[in-house]
Order: sequence, then C-alpha cells, then structure tokens
Amino acid sequence: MNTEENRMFKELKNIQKVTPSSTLFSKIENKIKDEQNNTVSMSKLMAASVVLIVLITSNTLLVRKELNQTKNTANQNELVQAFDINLSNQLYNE
Amino acid sequence: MNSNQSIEEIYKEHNGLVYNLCLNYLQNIEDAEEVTQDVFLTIFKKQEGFKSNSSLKTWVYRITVNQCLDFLKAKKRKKRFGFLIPIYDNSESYSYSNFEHPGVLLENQEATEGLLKLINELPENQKTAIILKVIDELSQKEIAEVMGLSIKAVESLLSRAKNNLKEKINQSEGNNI
Repeated sequence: MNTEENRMFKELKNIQKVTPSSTLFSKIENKIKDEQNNTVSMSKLMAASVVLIVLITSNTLLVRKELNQTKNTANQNELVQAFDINLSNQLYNE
Repeated sequence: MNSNQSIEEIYKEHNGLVYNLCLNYLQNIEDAEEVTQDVFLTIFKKQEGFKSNSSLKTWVYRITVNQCLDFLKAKKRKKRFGFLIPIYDNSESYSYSNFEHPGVLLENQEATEGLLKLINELPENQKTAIILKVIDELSQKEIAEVMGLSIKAVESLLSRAKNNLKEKINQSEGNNI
C-alpha cells in the first residue's frame, strides 16, 4: 500500500479486534435448537403431500362427475322442449 | 473442514473473525451480534454441503459477508414497508443503525466514523473489497475466493473503490470548509 492509501486508511488500520460476548454461543445454541424443533422431517412432508394430492384428485373427479350428470339432464330437458315430447302417458288433451 | 467438527469447534476457531467482520460491516454491536448468530446458524445448516476444495476460513468469510448484506437489505425493506423510504427509491444505500463500534478508540471515533460512513456509500462489492483488504488484511487472492471473482477483477474493484472513496473524501472535505 502506498503512502497516500496509508494516509487515507489510517483510521481503519487502528480499529482493534473485539471479543464477542461470552453469552453469544449459548444464544447460537438456542437458535440451533429452535431450528431443529421447527424443522419438519422429510417423511412427514412427503406424507402430507401425498394426502393433499389424493384429496385434490378425488375432489376433481367428484366435481367432474357431478358436472357430467348436470349436463346430461340439461340435454334431455332441451330435447324434450325442442320436440315438444310428452313425458306423461296421456295421449290426448282432455 | 473435518466432517466431525462440531459447531462449537467452528465457533471457537472463527468467532472473532465473524464478529469483527460483522462489526466492521454494520458498525453496531447489537446488529453484529444478531448477524453473528445467523452466520453460525447458516454454517450449522450448510455444514454438510461444504466442499473442502475451498478453505473453511474463506467459506466462513463468504457466509458472513452475505449475511451482513442480507441483514442490511432486510432492514431497508422493513423501513420501506414503514413508508420511510419511497417505493421508487432503488438506490443501493442502506440504512445503518447508530454508530457503535467497540473496536474504535475514543480519540479516533469521529474520524473513523466519518470514513466508515463514506465507505458505506460505496456500492456493496466495493465496500466488501475495501473492508476485506484494509481492515481484515486479506490478500487479493483470498478476496477473490471470498467474493467469487478473479484476481484481476478484485484488483480493478479495489482501484475503483479507492478512487470513489478519494472523491467522496474530497467532497466531504470541501463541504466542511
């Protein structure tokens, strides 16, 4: 480092090394313990994902089935209306 | 790093390095302690993924610098959320806590605080390079490893940082006259 830089950084060179507080490591240990307690295991996460996928799939299938049924009924009604089909067994108007 | 090396051993070996770098980077005792805790938590979590082709010291340095930057960014986000910083302000300037550096001698306090404030105004990679070079006295090769750059890139980064800092010092001296 040249003299100009030495002059410029004179103050930084005088910064002393500091020892951290003695309680710092116990704080770190506590953080690590908290982290370990809060971590969900991979197997639990997989099980939850599988349950969720099964639920969503069964729900989708149910909704689809329901929609198909509604669609069929609607089609039948439209047909009856279009051809003026008599759904009762009565042949003539009295 | 020995795979059997416990977090306590790593802490014993590197606590000074981490804490002092945090202090020099954040210039506040409380912030430095918080980030030091986060650094060792990250080391604990990533310990298994550490590749021994880089030195443990370099790896610890890298994690510390990244955590300091993340801390400053999170602090800026918090302030922005509190509407203290407008949403359209994309400047790189961070907001620092009150200057509180136990490593600075009382007689040098004012001058050191002033200089560190000017260094804080530099872009983050220039600030990192200056701190690692001048305060931590790392070689350019070590800085390159920590910052993931080539030695040539570090060289030019340091030269730009020094020029920028010189300009800022001249400006502030001009303002004081």
